[in-house]
Amino acid sequence: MREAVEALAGRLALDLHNPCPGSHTLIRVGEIEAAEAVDALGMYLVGMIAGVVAVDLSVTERYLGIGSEFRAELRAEVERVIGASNAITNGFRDTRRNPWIAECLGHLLLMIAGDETGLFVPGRVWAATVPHDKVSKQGLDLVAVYDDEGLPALCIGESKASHTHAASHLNSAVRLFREVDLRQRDYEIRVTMINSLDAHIPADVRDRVPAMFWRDRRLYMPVIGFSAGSAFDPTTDRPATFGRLLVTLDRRRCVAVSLNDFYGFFNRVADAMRAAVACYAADAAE
Amino acid sequence: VFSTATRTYFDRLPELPGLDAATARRILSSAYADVLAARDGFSREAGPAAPEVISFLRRLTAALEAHAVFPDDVGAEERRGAAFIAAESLSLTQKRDENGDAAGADEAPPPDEEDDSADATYRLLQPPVFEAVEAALLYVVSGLETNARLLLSDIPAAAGEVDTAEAVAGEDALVALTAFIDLGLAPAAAAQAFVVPAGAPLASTIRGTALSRIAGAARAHLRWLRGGDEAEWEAANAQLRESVAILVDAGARRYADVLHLSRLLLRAIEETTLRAIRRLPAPANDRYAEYLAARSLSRPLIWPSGVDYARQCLPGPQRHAAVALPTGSGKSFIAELAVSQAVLNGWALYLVPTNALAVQVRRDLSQALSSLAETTVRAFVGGTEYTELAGETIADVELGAVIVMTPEKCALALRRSPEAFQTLRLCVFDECHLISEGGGRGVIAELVAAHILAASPDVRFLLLSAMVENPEAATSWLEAATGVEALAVKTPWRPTRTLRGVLGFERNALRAAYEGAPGAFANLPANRRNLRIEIPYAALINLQGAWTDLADIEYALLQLDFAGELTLRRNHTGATWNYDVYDDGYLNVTLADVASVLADRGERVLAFVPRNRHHAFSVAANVSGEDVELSASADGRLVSAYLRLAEFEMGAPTVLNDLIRRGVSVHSSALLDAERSASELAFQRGLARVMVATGTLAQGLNLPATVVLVGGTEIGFSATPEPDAAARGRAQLLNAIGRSGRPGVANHGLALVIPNNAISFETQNLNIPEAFQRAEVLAYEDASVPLVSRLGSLVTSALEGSLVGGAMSTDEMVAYTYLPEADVQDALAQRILQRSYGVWQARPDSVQDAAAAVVHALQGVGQEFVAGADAPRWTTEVAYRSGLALPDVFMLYGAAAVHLGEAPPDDIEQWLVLLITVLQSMPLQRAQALVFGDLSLKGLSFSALNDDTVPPPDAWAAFQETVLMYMRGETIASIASFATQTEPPIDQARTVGSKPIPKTLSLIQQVAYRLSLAAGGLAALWVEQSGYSTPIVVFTSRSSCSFIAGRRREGRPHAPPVSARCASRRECGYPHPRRPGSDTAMRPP
Repeated sequence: MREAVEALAGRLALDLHNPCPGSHTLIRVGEIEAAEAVDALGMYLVGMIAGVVAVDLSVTERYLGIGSEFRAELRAEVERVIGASNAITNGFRDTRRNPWIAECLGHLLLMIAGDETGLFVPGRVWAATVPHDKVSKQGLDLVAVYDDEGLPALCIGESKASHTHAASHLNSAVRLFREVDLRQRDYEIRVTMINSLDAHIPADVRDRVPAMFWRDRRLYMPVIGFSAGSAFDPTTDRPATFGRLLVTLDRRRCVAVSLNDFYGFFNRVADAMRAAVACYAADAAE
Repeated sequence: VFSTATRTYFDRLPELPGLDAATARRILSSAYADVLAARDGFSREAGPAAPEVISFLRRLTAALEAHAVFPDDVGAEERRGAAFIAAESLSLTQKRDENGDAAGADEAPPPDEEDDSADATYRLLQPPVFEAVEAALLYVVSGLETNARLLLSDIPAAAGEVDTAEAVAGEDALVALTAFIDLGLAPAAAAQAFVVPAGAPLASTIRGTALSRIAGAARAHLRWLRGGDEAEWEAANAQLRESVAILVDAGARRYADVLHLSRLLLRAIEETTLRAIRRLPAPANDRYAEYLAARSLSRPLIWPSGVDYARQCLPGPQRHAAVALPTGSGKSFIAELAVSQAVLNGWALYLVPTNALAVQVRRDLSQALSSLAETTVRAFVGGTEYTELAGETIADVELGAVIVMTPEKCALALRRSPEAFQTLRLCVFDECHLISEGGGRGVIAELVAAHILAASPDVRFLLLSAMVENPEAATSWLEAATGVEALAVKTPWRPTRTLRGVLGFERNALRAAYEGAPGAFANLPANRRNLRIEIPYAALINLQGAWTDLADIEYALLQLDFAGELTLRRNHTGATWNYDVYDDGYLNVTLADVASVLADRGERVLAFVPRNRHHAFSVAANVSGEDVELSASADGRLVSAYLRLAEFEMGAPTVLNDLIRRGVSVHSSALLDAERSASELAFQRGLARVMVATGTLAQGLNLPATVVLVGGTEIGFSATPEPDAAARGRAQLLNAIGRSGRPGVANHGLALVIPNNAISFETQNLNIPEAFQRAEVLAYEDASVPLVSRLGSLVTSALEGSLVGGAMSTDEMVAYTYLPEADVQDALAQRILQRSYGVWQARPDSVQDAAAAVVHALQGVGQEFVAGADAPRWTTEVAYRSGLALPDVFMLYGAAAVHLGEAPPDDIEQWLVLLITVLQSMPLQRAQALVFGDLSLKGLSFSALNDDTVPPPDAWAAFQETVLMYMRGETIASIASFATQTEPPIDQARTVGSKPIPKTLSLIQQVAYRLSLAAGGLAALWVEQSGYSTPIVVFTSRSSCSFIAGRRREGRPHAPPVSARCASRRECGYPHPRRPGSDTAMRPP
């Protein structure tokens, strides 16, 4: 996984673009359709699933006293989220597979850039949730806690992938951020923080920060994958959309992933993932 | 909002950044005000802004859960406090957005995005449901499970069949958690076994397993609380603990929600295990085990307020205790537990201040102890007059019995059957602050308690009060008197919170009306002086609890969305008109008005009318209720039956009938028993949404409301108020205020005082000092009066040698009467006195010597008093038997002496004639005091009996005939017609005390009590002086008659008379109307 992250960090073209002073900060991700990037992405995504599967297997074994074979579970899990092949229904493709890959992309980008560039979040990422096991599951795609000049801050990510309706999807993501603003997601974040992420914030920081620090310091990161041929232009000023959010401009970081071959890209990532399963299974066997 | 007990929770909050206890209290109160405002259509002005409230409370929840609920190294009390505040914060901000408004509806998703809301396949995944369960569990952890239930009522029903094993487990967990939080009092669905489906995703398997362990633990714990298997409980607990450990170890962030619920449930299980009644110290006894098993089904937990008593005084009870808890905070259950153990090897006595309370306690305890074999609960609620009725004796009290009675009744029992008290194991003294009451009642109560201590070697006392501020003094006394340890429980814990405020008018509107006055009158005739104006109501509320701090920051203003009426009046000086606003008659109108609106909005309103018992009827008449169909429910039919009984006794339609049928009940002393029963039941069961009540509600009756309105702060009206009248009045108001909030129905109550004179408020000028001045009672947390001995002055005077026979106070006279010469001779008087609270208070280090000195002094002045009274010394025995004051007995003896040697009258009517004859021959003022007290006879045909001059004989005759009509069972309307010389039909109104019905009811209540005592005194004179050879029947009151049968005795001291009970008309020739609800208790087999 580390190799994959490094490969992607070296290959992706990340561009902070701020043409939209009335609405948001834009980060454009280029070169992601390159073959090396796709392979690395497949490796990373399966690695992430493998980590989850390993944890889940250990939990299941302790819970139920039954063990499962890692390789089989990994393969089943990968196939569950992206399908056994690319011969899938359009519905599965558009509402399950592609959005899941996009969701993981957000996670990956945070891993790539969080420490180093301050591009996606301004400081070091202390901890982040893993993507949902099921893309349509209610809940925030990505919750990460990072170092904001010595204080904890929260990055909330929401990834979308749509060939022709990217604008609608961006609206949908912003609507979710709006729910965070309006505290309708408080319980989810609170429960996640108390039971998981809190422990990753350095103790001396945690003890001097009021509870629910994210009400003071948070950042929204919509990740939008879209077809380059579509009418969607991420540089368009969108004050009606982003202006409703209760964070400042530099905390509305929209990540745009423009894809020349929208469906082809996701198919290739899915293929790369299926190929990567064998590597992880072999590693696990060793 | 917060009582002292809940305030301590705030004081124990952990030190966390941004968390200040006073701010937390203030903001929680504001949130409550906002909830209330939303509930009743008000708006809140002043105080913290809604976004600040929401933001702060959400942070509070998170901080407290993370730092005080979940960590293991937090003390139990601290955890309870933190859980309470977190639960309040969470529940008050539920479903509200940043601005405090209701959360908006979701927008539609884009066309190629799956609607993820459709994916929420079980309810626990829905944020509102999750948070409701979370807050409910936090309440359970805090010891307020009664508050938790309310949150669950908002959870929507399951939408239908679920389609995955995880969803089945999720639904099952919700059902199990709900049943546990509800303590299984509501039916719960059967457990759904979680089966791991083949090929299911790992995550789903994990979530399903975690949820099924939550369900299993919740169910097993509930079963265990209700008497279930210990091994199954331990196994399920172990599984839940393991589940938490697994999820924590795995660091599995995806399962944070199920982990959260699991951890909360573990805490809730820990807390409720500590309070499970099956875990309380218990005697090894099969009967008790059977009772416990049955009781744990209906009441598996003791409230936190009772834990100390249970742990330190049970089994046994092995210690005395004085428990000071607010009304509705669990005193009765503490008493029940004590009684349930005491009756296993003795009997229990339950002292209460009134007969009405005796009836309620008997009913409640009978039900609660129904599974305790060989236990019967009996109430002795007849009059307090001297009687030899077999049904009124406890001579043959059986082990296992519970006897409920007033101290006066107990005084009779102690005189007649002292041997029965040898086996008394427990004396519960409810509302024990009675000891501090003047007019002789307090002295009797105190001497009865001391007498019991002297007569019952193994007794343990359980003193209960909602008012006593110094239970420690009582326990020190009990320890000194018995050498047995005693526990003071002083926890102002209560299961509800009350927002306290003063109701007034909106000042801006008032100002506008004033400024617009010339225009308003412009087109009216010059002779028109008054104009009614509508001014919206406003209420000033305190954000901390009691009004102890008058700083603006502690208050907020509630603007009500409806208006009241005031009078705009003009007067002219020369050619200039002057305008002013007056509040003529506003108080009762406002009370009725506000009660009507709030009831209409779903509140259960108690409108308290402290000044005049008749105003309760006029206020009730002005409450606009809604029609209630009584025949539609069993409760309604029972209310209807009571009303029919009342009409039977009244002989005319009762005004209560109309009131209750439109949802308004009345609680006043100007009611027949059946009317009172109908009123209480209608309000308790929600048939009446408003109860207009007077001070009669003060003593212990369980009638909680969601809103209490106090109409004025003047209590009663007396030209010569007692010295402690102010404290007692305050106690009465606080008692009313304390009734707001109903556990499980409304966790938060509202109490508004409407000042005697109208007040106004505006946001810019909250007018706090003036409001405070108008309603000073709000400064007090709970009614608190010191437990003071009424014997104190007697003891001091006796020890100082300054006791003077001719100048004995009522209390001193009662004390002297209680300790007759015979008791002095066999040292009983000293044994009683040295165990009395008063002697202990005066001379804690030398009670024996002090008691001896008091006895000596008391007997000296008593004998001196008797010697100067021209009455035989045995008349002190008559006073002792009859409960009459010694001067009254002397006077009665002087008047009756010529008749004592005669043959007794043949029948009961002749006895009354004799009694009236005796009264007539007494000095008029003494007879008036003995029979009428301060009752005004104005408007009655025998009003001359109130005069200073000797009344004409026909006045006594008219009075005698009135009493005879009552004895014969004639209707109240007939008696009223005769007594007030009014032609039928009789006006049924009770809005003014001078009207025929209220006048007659007052007469009957007063005379039945006083004439009964006099009749008992006459009977006792007969017994002492001459013995008797034929049955003596002395009518005393309509519901009981004294019937003494015996044989002439030779000389003195006499043998005890053979007693019989007058069970039917055949014996005494008079009807015995049955008193609904109390009759069984009054007539034990």
